Formats: sequence, structure tokens, C-alpha cells
Amino acid sequence: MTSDDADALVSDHLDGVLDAPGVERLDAWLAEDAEHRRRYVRMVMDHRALLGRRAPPFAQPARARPSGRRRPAMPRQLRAAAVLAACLSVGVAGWWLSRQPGQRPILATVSAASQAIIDQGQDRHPLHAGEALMPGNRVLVERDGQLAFTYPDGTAMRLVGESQAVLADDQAGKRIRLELGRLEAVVSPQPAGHPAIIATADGITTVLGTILAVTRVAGETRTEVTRGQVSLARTDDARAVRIAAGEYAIAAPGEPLIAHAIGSASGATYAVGAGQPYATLDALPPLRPGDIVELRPGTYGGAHRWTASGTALRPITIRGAAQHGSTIIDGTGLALGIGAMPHALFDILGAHYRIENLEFAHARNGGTATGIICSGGAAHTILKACRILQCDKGIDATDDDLSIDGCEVGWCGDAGNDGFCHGLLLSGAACVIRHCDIHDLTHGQGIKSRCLHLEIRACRIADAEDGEIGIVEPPPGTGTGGDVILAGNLVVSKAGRHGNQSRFIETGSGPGPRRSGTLVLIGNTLVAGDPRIVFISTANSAMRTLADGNIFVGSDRIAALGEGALSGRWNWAPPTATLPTGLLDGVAPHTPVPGFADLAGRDFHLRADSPCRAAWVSDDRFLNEASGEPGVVSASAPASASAATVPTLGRRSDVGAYGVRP
Amino acid sequence: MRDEDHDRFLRAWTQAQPAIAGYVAAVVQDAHAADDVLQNVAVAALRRFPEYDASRPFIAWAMGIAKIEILTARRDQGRTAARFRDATIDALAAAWEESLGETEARQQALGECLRQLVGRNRELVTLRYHQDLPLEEIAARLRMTSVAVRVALSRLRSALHSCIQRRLAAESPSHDL
Repeated sequence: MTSDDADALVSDHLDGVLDAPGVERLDAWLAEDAEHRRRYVRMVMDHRALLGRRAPPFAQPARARPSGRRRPAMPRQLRAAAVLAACLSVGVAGWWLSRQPGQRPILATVSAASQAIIDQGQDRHPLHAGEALMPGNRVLVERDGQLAFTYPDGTAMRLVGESQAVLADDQAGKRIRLELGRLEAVVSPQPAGHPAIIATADGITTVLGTILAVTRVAGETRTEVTRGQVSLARTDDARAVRIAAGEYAIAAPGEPLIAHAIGSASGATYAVGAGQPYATLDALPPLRPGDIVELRPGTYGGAHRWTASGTALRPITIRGAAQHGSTIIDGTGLALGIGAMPHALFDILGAHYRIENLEFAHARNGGTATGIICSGGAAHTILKACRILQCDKGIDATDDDLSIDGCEVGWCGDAGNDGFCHGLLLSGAACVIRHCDIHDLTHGQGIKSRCLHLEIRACRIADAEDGEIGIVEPPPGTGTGGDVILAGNLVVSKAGRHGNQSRFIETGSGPGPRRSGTLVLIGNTLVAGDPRIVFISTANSAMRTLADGNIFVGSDRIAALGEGALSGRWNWAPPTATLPTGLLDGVAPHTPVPGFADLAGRDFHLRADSPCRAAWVSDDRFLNEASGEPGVVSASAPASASAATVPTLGRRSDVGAYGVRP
Repeated sequence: MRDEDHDRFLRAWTQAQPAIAGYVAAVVQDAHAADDVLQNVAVAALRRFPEYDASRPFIAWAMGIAKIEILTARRDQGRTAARFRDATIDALAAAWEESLGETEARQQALGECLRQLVGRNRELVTLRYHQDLPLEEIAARLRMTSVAVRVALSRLRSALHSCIQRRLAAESPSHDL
């Protein structure tokens, strides 16, 4: 066969007109020689490149614009987005969703689904991988869930955590209306004039082919671009902005619509410190949503009230510029709580704050001075990688959605307020504590909580003089139920306390109504420094207890129960311990101790010969009802809570804190 | 799948998808069947991503999945999905991977070569690729027979291929087509 003959076969193949004998001849030619295959591949590449071109490269150049001052033309993509935004703003937002197609073609296929449902009025069912999504489908994803789906052109999208969206399609291209939550997308190059559009009530994101994420929370929409570029048009005034790779923009009423570099502030950034524009925190102007205050390394005196509020998408961030520990807010010499002076080094009264990489030290006034207080209007505060050391009290919060992540609270307490100087005193509706080290509380408990919902995960809580974790009645008006989840924690009490000798994890010792709800302990290592310790005391509450995969060591007193029962499996307890009737299928204690690496040296990792190795077979007791997957999600959990705590169903894991710990 | 794995997959797939789509199109003649296969490849790759060894190129791994999906589609749908023999499908995957490195340079060269098109060749590109017309319609517009259009397109493609190869080899920067 000549090369012209072969090219003719290839050409017919590309145009879809090659008959069966022709295919056989082409196949034979391809099999003959690697060079033939290379030529074929190159011609296919050229063909696809030509198909992908949006305009002929030999088109005539546009005529020069007449001279004179003119407003620069808005790029076509932005114009389109702005027009769409204008349409939405005058009340025709549903135009593309209200179409009633005669046929309902498959829009996309579900590739992964967890806690995701389709909601079509009467038809409301969980979604599963492989299921087809049709135009007009409304999909809901619950907290900790996800829904990933793929379009025929390879475009992949994922809705995560507490999201709602409506899928649509028309001849103009892909359409998604994101009502709430977060949508991540990898959009394949879209045909010219047929962009994918992701709309929220606040703005419209127009996509030609890119990786992006759109988040809608509390009346604001954030579009973030990883690759390619998109436009975001705001619905209330039809203004539009182009967002390039590595940038984001937020559509919020009355705020500038500007693209920012990812990681940079949507508001102002204030550098504070010696030689910086602001020498001290007191010199700062009033803060606005999205502002970042960055403190250079050093020691800063003074106590500060923060009254402004951020938003969910534009929190106010106050952070140390270097690694934690080097930027210190020092209370030495301050009369905290006297006159107009705050009771705390940071007194947070506004919503949506992120406090990061700061050390708070020496908040002292004889028993009530505190490192950080979140009260009044404080809500949705995040404390991350902070240290609160040598204060009377560590953190005192009434925040209804508080997250404490990677923080250390230690050597706090004062004899002037003995028994009430806790590391964490939590009184809001919900708090999630992860990866924290709370230790050496000299005149109180490690954590004392009135939270309706409390989660403590992968923390070390140790050596408080008056007990490690106290759980009392929830705040007034929030009910008496609510769950407390402890997972993957190392809880250790010291020998020779001067305070309470038996308190370890205790519920219901406060003066209010008896607390109900569930105390869930999964995969914790609980080490008593004194044989008088009672690990779990619910004697003064109505809480029931579920305990799986825990190690109880150092005391034979596992539980003192009140009205609520205790049940559990796969726990290790000393052979001399008195086990409550609800604890079943315990790990056989081959030795008096569970096989720690170094008990005296407080290394509680398991030795290879420990009976606790691979002794926990996770069963279905903690299955999430919505997804059918392992996890603990309680009805009282805040959005910031996560469910990934229980080992894979049926798989053997180590008993104790390190079996489920990340 | 964990969130970070999902993100890793999305990034890797986005980069690999054009190449995989090209390979699928090279083997599966029918455009709709090719779309179906590509979708199946994406879903299979996502499902099997936990098995992916990150020390190896993602594209080669995904290409392997594409081969399996093409063969599966042919088994299920007959030769609509793929009309070549297994060995050819396999060999084309290797050729495709080998050629990926020159994609960008090739597209640049293609642009240059297209600018040199004149007369009927320019019309052919416009009608076939930019207006996406079927061969019969092109024939009617150009007052040619369908067979003549097929021949003309074949010559055009051969000429473009030669022009691109010359440009890549920097042998002849300009040549009228």
C-alpha cells in the first residue's frame, strides 16, 4: 500500500466513512510498522486539534478601533456572564431550570456517593455510584457526605458536605444551580459559546474548561480557580470579574468584586510589630470581614477586645507570622478584669474569627484571668496552633460553634480559684477539639464542658489536679440531650492529686437539670495514675455510654453508672477490674498491663506482642444511618464535626488511642 | 476515597484526560461510542484510584484502563466501539504515549501551516472543522462529488502532516500548500 493509499484510509476513518474492508486494510497497515502507527497517531492528533479550534487561524484581523478614549471592551466571556447576572437580578433566575425537555437525556453519571440523596418531590432516595442524573434533578448532600458525578465529556464535579444543587442542561451547555454548600469541578474544555455555568443566588461562574470550586454560605459565594480561568458575575449589580488560576473572588453584596491570590486576604492585611506599619495591636484601624492581622515574631503586651465580625467566607484572621511560640501575647503586669481591662488577653466578642500561631502567656489576676475568652457575639471561632500557657484559665468560651485544633493548654491554674481554673471551660452549643494537648492544670479540670455537643478527637488530656473531663448540663434553653464523642484520645491522670481523687471522665456533676444524651468512647487509651480513679462516672446524669476499643489501665474501677446504661465491646481492662454488665467481648488480658512500649516512661504505644494489637473488630454499632458507612455523627453535631473515626467495618484495628488516630 | 485522594485524582485526571480522549478517539471511530468509553474510563479510574502507584506516571496507568474499557465496550457493543484488532489497539496505545511529548509543538506548527492555506483547502478546513458540516453538505457547497471531497480532505491532511513534520524538523519554515 502506498502512503497516499494509507492516508486516504486514515482520512476516511477520521470522517467516519471507512467501510469494513477499509478498516481491515487500515488495521493491517497499522500492524505492519511502528512508523505507520506513529503517522496515524499524528494525523489523529492533528484532526483533534482542528476540531478543538474555535476559529480559523486565517480569519481576518479585526478592524482597528477608531482612535479616542473609549472604555475598554469587556471580554466576551465576561460580557456573557454579566448579561446572565443581569437576567438573574431581574427575577428570571429559573429560566434555564424551568425548561421542560421533551426527552430527559442522561446528564451525568454518579461516580461516588455518600450521604447523598436525590430529591424529586415524591421520589427521594439515596444516590449510588453508577446512577444517572437527569436534567432538573435536585441533589442534596448531608454533612460528611459527598456526591461525585461525571459528564460524558469527562467533566467531573463533586458536591461536598451540606450542599444542595439542581442540575440542568440545555443546548447552551452545562448548568448547575448551587443553592448551598461547596461544588468542586474539573471542567473539560467546553465548546465555543457553550460554557458551563455554575449559578448561585449571589453570582454566576462561567467556565470554559478549568478546575475550580464554588462555595455558597450565608449569602456569599466564593469561586476559587486552580487551573484555567473563569468569570464570576454578581447577580445584584451584574458586575463581573475574571478569575485566573491561583485566584479567588467573593460575590457579596456591597463588597468590591475583585480577584485575589489564593491564600491572600480578601480584605486588608495588617502587618504588626517592630518596624511594621502597625507597631502594636492597639494601633490597628477597625477590622472588616476578610482582614488579616499578621504579627511578626516578638512579645506583645496588653489585652485586646475584638468586636468586629467576619463572615463564613471572609473570616477575620489574627495570626503569628512565624511558627507558633515565637509570637507571644504576654499578660505580665496587667490588671486583667479590673476596670475596663478585659478578663482575657484576647476577648473575642465578634463572629467568624481565626486565631492562629499565637502564644498566650501569664494571664494572671489571682484566679479568673484567662488566655482567650469567646463570648457575647462570638460564634464560629477557630483557634488553631495556639498555645495558652501559665494563665489562671486557658480558654473560656460561650461560642456556639467553636473549633480548637492543634492547640496546647498547659500549666494553668491558681490557688485563689481552686477547683474552677479549668484548661477549657466550654459553655456554647457545640465544640470540636482536635489534636490538642491539654495538660498540667494545677487547680481545675482539663476540660469542663456544658456544650450540647462536644467532640474530642486525637487529643492528649493529662495531669489535671481535679479530673480530666467534666461534662455538665447544657446551656439553658438548649435541652438536656446532646452527645459527647471521645475518639482516639490519650487521657492520663497523675498520681497524688491534691484535688478530687476519683474523677476522670464524669458527667452531670453540675447544679442544673440532669443531662441526657450519649457519651461515646471509641478507641481511647485511658490511664489512671491512682487506683481510686473511676474512669467513667455518669452517676449524676441520665447519659448512656457506648464504649468500644478502649484501654482502661491503672484502676479497676471502670464505671459508676446512673440512670443510663453502658455497653461496649473490644475494650481492654485489667484482669482484676470489675466490669459493668454491658461491656461484652473484652480483649483477653494476657498480662496485667496491656503491653505499652514504656508505661513508666508514659509511652503508651503498643508493643508488637500486646494483646491489644489488631484485637478490635469494628462492627456495625456506629454505622451512620444516612450513609450506611462507619462513623459517628450525632444529631447535635455542628457542621465542623467529622465522622471519620471508626475503623473500616470488619477490619481489625489496634485497641486504644493509636488504632483510630490519624 | 479520602478528600485528598479525590483531589489528587481530579488533578491527575484533568491533565491526562485530553490524551486519553485522543487515544480513545483514535481507536473508537464512532464519536458517541468514544464519549461513552471515555466516561467509563473516568469512572473506572476514579474507582480504582486507590490502587494507583503514585511513583508511576498517571497517564500510563489511565491508558491501561482505557485499553480495558475499549475492549470491554467492543465485547458489549460489537465493533461499533472499536474496529481494530486487540494487538492494534494495544500498539496504538504505545504509539499514542510516545507522541504525547510533541503535542504542544505540533499544535503550534499546525497553526502556522493553517495560515498558509489558500483557496479550496482553506474552504475545506472551514467547512469541515469550523462549521462541522457532513461530507455531503461540503460537497454541495463546493459543487463537488462526495468522493472528490474525500480525496481532497485526504490530500489536505497529508499536506498538513508533511508541513507540520517539516516545521518540527525545521527543514523548511515556509511552504505553500
